[in-house]
Amino acid sequence: MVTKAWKWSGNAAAESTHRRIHLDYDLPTRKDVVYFPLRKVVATRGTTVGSTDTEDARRALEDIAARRRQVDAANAAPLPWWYLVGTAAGLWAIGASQDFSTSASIMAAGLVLFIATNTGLERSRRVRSRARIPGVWLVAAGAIGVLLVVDIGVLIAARLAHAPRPNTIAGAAMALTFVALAVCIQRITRARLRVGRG
Amino acid sequence: MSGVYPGFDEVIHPQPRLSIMALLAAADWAEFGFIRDSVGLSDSALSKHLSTLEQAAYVTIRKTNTGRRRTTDLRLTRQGRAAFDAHVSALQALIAAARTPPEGEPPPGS
Repeated sequence: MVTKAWKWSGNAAAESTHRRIHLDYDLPTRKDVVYFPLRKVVATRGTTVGSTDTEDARRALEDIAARRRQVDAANAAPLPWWYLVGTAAGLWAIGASQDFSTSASIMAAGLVLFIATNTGLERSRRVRSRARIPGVWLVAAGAIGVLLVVDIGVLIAARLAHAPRPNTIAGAAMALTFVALAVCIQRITRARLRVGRG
Repeated sequence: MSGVYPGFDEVIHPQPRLSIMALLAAADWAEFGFIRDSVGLSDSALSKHLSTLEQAAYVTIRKTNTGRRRTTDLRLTRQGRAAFDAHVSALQALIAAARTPPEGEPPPGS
């Protein structure tokens, strides 16, 4: 009986360690090529034990590590420009709405833009990594805090300076701060993932 | 060197399926297109491998229609994750066993 064993990589190097045997079966015309393991067979699964199989296992583990890096890289991809622009515009509209007589509709438009870009970002994702960056919620809460401080701070300053449309100025400051924070957080996240991957 | 490596899984071990499982093991979920592009398989070949993994209850496939866009999300089941972890352990054990010379035999290179 001939044991038919498959190899993980299936490449020429791996095959070279196997004796290639041509067998004439009682089949009509063709010959069947069987790869026959030279080494000891473990159980009945065709898993051979020896240097070739160690190499096989090593390659498999390397592939697994590479796939993990692929997932992490996909998750750390730069934020799309439309997300940054859309969310910043939404924040600006929400902040600026109080300066206009049609404040409700401007605020509603800002909210719709904000939600739409965030939903769009979520839908554009093709994979979600299981890697969890420690303290990510703390960073998110901190970012929201910074946005509020900037908004309120600029608003107070603009009012004290008797600037026209202080809410618009504060909204714009908040939107710009959002873009800066998003880019910074993205870079930090990527660096931490890189460190995590070793 | 002899012995069976518990956890070695023949369903997982072939290269394309190992790559698929490795990608899904690193992810909460992944889109069909992401797996296809990452592994470099055709739609049909990937579908075939996924069917095998689904039959083994290692992968769940969820198809959703969002507007005109149809997406297929894949994720590992708990059983699939356990089988993958066990398979990785078996591979590591195989490598570790190869490093340890058998009793009575001189270490390689001596």
